[in-house]
Amino acid sequence: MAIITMSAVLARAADWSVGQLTHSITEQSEAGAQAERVVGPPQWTASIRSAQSMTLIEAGEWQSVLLRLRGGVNVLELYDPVRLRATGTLRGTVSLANTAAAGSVTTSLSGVPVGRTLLPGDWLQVGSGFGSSQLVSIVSPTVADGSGVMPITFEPPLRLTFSSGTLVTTERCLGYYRMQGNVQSSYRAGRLYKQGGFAADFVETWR
Amino acid sequence: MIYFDAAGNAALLSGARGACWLVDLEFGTGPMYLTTYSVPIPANGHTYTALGNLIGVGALTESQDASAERLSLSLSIVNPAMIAATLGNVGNYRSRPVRLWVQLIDGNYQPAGEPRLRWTGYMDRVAITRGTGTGGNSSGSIELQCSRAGMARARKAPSLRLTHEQQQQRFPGDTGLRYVRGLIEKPALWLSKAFQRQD
Repeated sequence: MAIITMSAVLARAADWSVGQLTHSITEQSEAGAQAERVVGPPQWTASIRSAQSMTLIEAGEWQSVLLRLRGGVNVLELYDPVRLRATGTLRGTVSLANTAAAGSVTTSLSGVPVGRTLLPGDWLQVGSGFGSSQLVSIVSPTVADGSGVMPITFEPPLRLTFSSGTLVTTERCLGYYRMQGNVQSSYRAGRLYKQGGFAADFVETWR
Repeated sequence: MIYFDAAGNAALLSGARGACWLVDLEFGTGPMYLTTYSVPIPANGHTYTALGNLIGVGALTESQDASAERLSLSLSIVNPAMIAATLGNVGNYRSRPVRLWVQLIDGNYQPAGEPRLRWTGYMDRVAITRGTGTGGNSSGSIELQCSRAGMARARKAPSLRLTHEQQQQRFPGDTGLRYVRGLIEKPALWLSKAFQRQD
């Protein structure tokens, strides 16, 4: 298994979508009692679509990335090209102010310039590397206090425990995904831009 | 009856909870700790490797009197470590212990409380099952068949010990077996052959 880094050509995709795949089963009795049976932690999903017509060179770059994934064998390192950085004012790399236990949805960041903000929808990458990091989304607006500490609330809950001082990335936050399905594209003979129509769906993976 | 600790009970009473299996396989080459969950779980002093649906646990039934006699574990055929453990020397797995624990999962997708031991037994036979599909697709799994611990004793009623202590556990106050140990350990001579020949 290899990690394929995100190509700039994917960032120029004509269509991007991001979602979350949850794994739970709703159980309901005849008397009306209801509970949710948790099967596993949720996974981020991503779908990218290229333009229908591209130059052969650009189409070749698309094909290169998708073929190297070998279906679901290799893992793609992907960041959100729309939310490259926070819509708040926080930039760069900060660190965890304390140990964030597995299962938690709140923690604090340290080393944050006073007054910097994060807004709902902003991505954070806690930790680094495949299987040792997690992509989370801020769900509550927050601001750093006078001592450079910023409390954050995010989803989904952490799958791992991250120790104090773990680096947290706020720009080009990476997630790791496996491709679903096969690769195909279409040709347009006689046109100036002859190839396009690449489409790929991805599901987050950590193993 | 199965009892869970406070954290487990809280998960059960909440509106969102799940469960997964923790499997201890004591191979001769070294133990393997596997879980059906999709995230590694630290428990019992080990970290259970997350295999997700790559490992399947057969239907497990329980009653007041006994657990299931046999259990089948299906393991992914693409796991080289599993292949090495089960397709090598038979002594590596035959009659070696296997334990199944149930681990509750809370709404934060994390283990809730301590796992509970539900089944213990021994690895018995290994079978490889292969399915042929269309278009070149195929599937396979390693079926590890396990037997419940204590089956030999359970089948042989005379081998079950009848002791005063066990009787007291089942029927407190019933002293009908209080002379069993004495009769067994200190046999008394009733009538000798020579005595019977006396006129």
